[in-house]
Amino acid sequence: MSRIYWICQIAGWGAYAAALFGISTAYSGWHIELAAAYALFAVYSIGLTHLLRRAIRRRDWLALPALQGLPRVFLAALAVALIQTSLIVTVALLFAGPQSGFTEVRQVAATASGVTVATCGWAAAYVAIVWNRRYRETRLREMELQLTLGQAELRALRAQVNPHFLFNSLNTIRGMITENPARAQEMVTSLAGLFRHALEFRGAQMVPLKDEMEAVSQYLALETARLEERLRIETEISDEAARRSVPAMVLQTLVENAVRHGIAELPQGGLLTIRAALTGVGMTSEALLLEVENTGRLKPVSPNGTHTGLANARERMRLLCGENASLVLSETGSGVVAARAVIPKVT
Amino acid sequence: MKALIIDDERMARQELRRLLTAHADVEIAGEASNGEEALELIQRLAPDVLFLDIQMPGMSGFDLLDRLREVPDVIFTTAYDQHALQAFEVSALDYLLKPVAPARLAAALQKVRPQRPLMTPSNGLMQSMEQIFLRDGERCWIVKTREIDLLESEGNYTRVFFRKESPLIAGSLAAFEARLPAAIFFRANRRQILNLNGVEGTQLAPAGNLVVMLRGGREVELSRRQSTVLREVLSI
Repeated sequence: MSRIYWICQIAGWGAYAAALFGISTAYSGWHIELAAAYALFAVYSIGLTHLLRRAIRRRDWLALPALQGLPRVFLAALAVALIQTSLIVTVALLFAGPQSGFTEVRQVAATASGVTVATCGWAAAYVAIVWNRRYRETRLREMELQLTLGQAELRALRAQVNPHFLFNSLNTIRGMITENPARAQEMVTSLAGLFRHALEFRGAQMVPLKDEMEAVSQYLALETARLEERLRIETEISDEAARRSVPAMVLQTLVENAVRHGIAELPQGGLLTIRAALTGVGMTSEALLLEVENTGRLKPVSPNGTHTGLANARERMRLLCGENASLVLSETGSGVVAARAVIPKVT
Repeated sequence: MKALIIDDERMARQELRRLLTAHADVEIAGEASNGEEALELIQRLAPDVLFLDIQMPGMSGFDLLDRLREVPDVIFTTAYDQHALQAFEVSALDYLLKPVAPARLAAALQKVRPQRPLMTPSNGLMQSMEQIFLRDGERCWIVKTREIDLLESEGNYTRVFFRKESPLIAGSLAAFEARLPAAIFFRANRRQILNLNGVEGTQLAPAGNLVVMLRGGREVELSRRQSTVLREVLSI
């Protein structure tokens, strides 16, 4: 990218200086001083416009709205043109004296206007290139996001329709039909509720934590019937937290991971803790802290995609709640795996 | 027929127990909820058949079989495990999908119902009903030891020849020697152990040691010392 920039700079200003030199020789014949002056012009024009580019980039003028950014860019370009003109005039007077014609205002004005057009043209081209590139990048990012969301939707659905969970649940229900028919009926209802929640999920969507917890409870009811005393559950959800909106299926993903990859893999089972509370009370932006902890150890990333659900949840949080949202999975010293999600208040 | 149900979920064990009441000849000797329990019960109860869940916390069904010196018949059960299903398919093992269909259970039981052990005197040795579990990455086998023709050392691995298969299995030849009945399996030389039941003939090598012809056409050259031993065993 930078190489192309330098090639354009050298070729552009070189060609422009060469053209001016050609015209000049037509009037006043060939002089080594004239050639040197135009070569010098090309060199400091490259340098000055490079400084202009640096200023535009440093101050990020092109990230501003056009009405604010463009005047700044073109005023700076005019300043550069002014410097170029004064350098041309100074050099010409030093080398050729009054013979150069720059004692006449008309000649100076003509040179100034020519240089101004050239440098403003440079600025216009620069703006066009940068904007075009940004536009393309934005489009690409949008497409990526669209794709990510589509995939997230699909993955969440597949996670929900996780065949292992489904068939195990069906097996438990089959057994429960004789052992405890009322419980079997409840389980069928839970399974239906859970699938409905998953089918209604449309990727980037905020839902009240209360609703998300409903689906989580149905999921946990089914897993409790299956794992029995091996799955012990504690929930601490404050009322303010329950009213807050959260990206759909994030809590569900965390809880499912905690059960499937944590507690279900322990012969003695373990404790699942779900906590939700607002942090930084009294501050302007109270973030929601969601914590899902389970007994167990953090396993290295397995090839069959243990962490894709997590990566996906993280991506959806970023899309819906901005860069301040975070999701961290860690193992605390005491054989507990904790997933902590911070969801800033979306205004 | 003594059966042992091994599954980490109580409801799953109960459901299988209920389904098995339809089969009067199956006596449920016990239930285990994890691999460790299962190991102990298998030792104590010597069941004829295991109903074995693949996905269990701590020790998977396959891991459990790896730790058994000899294995009874096994009917695997799984709710859904793509890896396991693939292993069952390529290995032609019996498995049941949960929830279990009664007809599938009946078919699986039919295959493991004991045919009476044969006491036919072949080389004066009893036909062994013992079987071992072999696993080679994706594929696994439950092999009757009498079906094994030859074992060949390849470093820390051993190539096991049986039927038309010859997978490379983790474990030294010495470890296999310890697992297999010494009455049938004979150490031919440093690298090979052969099944005496599979010997179809012997030849004398130019150096004076024996060359044994095995069923399937394989030839194994015995060390000088083991040639003497084999002559005594086969009294030739």
